Amino acid sequence: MDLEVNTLKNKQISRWDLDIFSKGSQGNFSLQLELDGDSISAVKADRGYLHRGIEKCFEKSLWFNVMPYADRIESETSVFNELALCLSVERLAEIEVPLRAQYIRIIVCELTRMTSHLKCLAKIAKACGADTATHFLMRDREKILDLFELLCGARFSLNYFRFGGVQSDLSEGFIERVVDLCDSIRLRLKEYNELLSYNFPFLERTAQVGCISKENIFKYGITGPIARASGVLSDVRRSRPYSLYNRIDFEVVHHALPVGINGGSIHDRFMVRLKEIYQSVSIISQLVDSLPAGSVKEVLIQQDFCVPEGESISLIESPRGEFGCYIMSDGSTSPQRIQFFTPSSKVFEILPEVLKNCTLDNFPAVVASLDLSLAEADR
Amino acid sequence: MEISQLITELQEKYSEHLIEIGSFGNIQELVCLSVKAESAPLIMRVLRDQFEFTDFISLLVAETPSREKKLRLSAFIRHQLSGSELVIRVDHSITGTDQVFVIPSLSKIWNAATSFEKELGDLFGVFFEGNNYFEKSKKRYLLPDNWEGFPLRKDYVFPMEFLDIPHSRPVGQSEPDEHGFGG
Repeated sequence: MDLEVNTLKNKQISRWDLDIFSKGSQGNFSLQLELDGDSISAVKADRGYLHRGIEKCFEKSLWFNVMPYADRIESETSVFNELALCLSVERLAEIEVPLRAQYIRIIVCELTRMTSHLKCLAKIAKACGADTATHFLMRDREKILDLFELLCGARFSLNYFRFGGVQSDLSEGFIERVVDLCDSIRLRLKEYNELLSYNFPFLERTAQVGCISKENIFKYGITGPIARASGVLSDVRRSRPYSLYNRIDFEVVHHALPVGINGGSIHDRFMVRLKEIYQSVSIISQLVDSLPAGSVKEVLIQQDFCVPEGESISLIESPRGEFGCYIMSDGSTSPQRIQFFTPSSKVFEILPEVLKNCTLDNFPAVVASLDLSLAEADR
Repeated sequence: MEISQLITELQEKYSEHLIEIGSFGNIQELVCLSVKAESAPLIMRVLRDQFEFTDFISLLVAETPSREKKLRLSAFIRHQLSGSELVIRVDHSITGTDQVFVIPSLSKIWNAATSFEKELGDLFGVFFEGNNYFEKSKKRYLLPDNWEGFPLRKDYVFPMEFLDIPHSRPVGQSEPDEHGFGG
C-alpha cells in the first residue's frame, strides 16, 4: 500500500480497510485508514462504485428524453440537476420561461435544499449519538417529501422541470401546505437549536473537530456550506444570480470568526446548514406571497425538439455547493455532450486531508458533516 | 480586474500564443480564449500568477461535432476577488480510435483540477502529465481496472460482454429456459 504516513504518535500502527460492504462503511466509497493507536495517520480513498455512465446515456437519448437521466445523477436533490440542465438548454435555445414557472422552480428548489440540509444534520446527529434529534429532523424532512408527492407524485427524482417551464401547475392545496410547513419549520428550528446546537456533549464531539482551513478551501476549490463554514463567502445565488435570485432578499450564511480561531469544524458546518434552512424558509415565504398567475409552460417540447448548434453552460447553488451543467449541441435531436460538474467531486479530494489526525470516534461525524454524495460525484 | 483590460494586455504580450478571443457559445459576457496546445501551460500560469485567476471551477471536455474531429478542453476559471470568469480552450485533433492524448496537467497550476483530470482522463483517454494519480497509479479511476477503451469517445464500441456476463440477450432467444427464467 502506498499510503504516506506522516507523524507517528504512539507507533501502534494498524490498518483498517473500509470497503463499501464493510460494517463501518461511510458511503459508496472505499477507505484505507492507517491508524496510529486511535488516531488516523494516513488515508487513501477510492470511488467509482456508483459510476453509471449517465453522461453517455445522455448522448444516446433525445433532448426530449434527457430529464429522467439528469434526475438520477443525485436522486435526493434531483431538481437542482434538472434546473442546471434547463438553464443551459434554455440559454442556448433562447427559450423564455414564464414568470410563474420561475417562481415554482425556486420554491421547489428551496424545499429540496431544506430536505438535503435536514438529512445532513440528521446524519451528523446520528454520528454523534443524538438519536432523538435524528428522528426529529427526519420527521420534518418527511413533511417536505409529502409535499413533493402532492406536487408531482414522487418523493425523489421528481422529473418535474421541463425546458421552458415545469411539467404542470401546482396541485390544489399545495401553497397552503407550504405556508403551514414554513410556520412549523420556524418553530422546529428553535427546537433543534435548543436541543443540539449548544448541547455540551454535542459540542465536545463537534467543536474544533474536523477543521478545514480557508487555505484548503481555496486549494481544493470547495464551495457551498463547507466553504461558508470556513469563513469563505461563496454563494452563486448572490455572486452570479440566476432565475429570480436577484429579486429575493436573503442572507448568505457564513461563519465569520475572529483571527486565530480555527474555523470550518463539524459544529460550524452544522450551524451553517441550520441557519440556511431558516433562509430557505424566508425565501419561500417571499415567493409564496408574490406568486403571480399565468401559465407554467409556453413551449411544448416534443420528440423532434432540436437545440441549436453551439455550447452553453449554467452554474447554480445546490445544497452541497456550486453545481454546473455544460452542453454542446450539433443541432440535432440528440445531445452531442452534456457534462455535469458537481461539488462532491472536489469534496472527495479533501477527504484524506480532513481525516488525518482525527480520532476513530470522530471520524463518522467528520464524514457526515462533509455531506458527500457519491452518486453525483461518480455519475 | 476588468476582462477588457486583461484581453488588451494578453494581446500585447502573448499574441503569438493565442489563436482566438471570443465569447463562449452565445454567452457574450463570458470570454473564451483559444490558445495553442503547447502554449496552454504558459497562458494558464500567467492568468493565475499575474492576473490572479486563482479559482478553478471546472474542466469541460467534449468531442466537437465538426467534420475534423477534435477533442476540446475548456478550463473554466474565476478571479477570486472580482468574480470575473474566463474560459481557456485548447483543441486537439483526433487522428485514431483509442488514441491517448498526453496533455500537461492543470493540477500543478490549480490543485482543484485534480478530480476533473482523473475522471475525464479515464473516460476520454487523456493522460495528464504531472497529475500525481496518473504518475503513481496505473489503475482506472471510475471504471473497473480491466475495462478497455474510453467510453465517452464518439467512436467507442460497447463490449458485448464483460467478465463473462453478456451485455444483452442473444438475438433469437424468446423461450424461457428449463428453469422457467428468461423469455
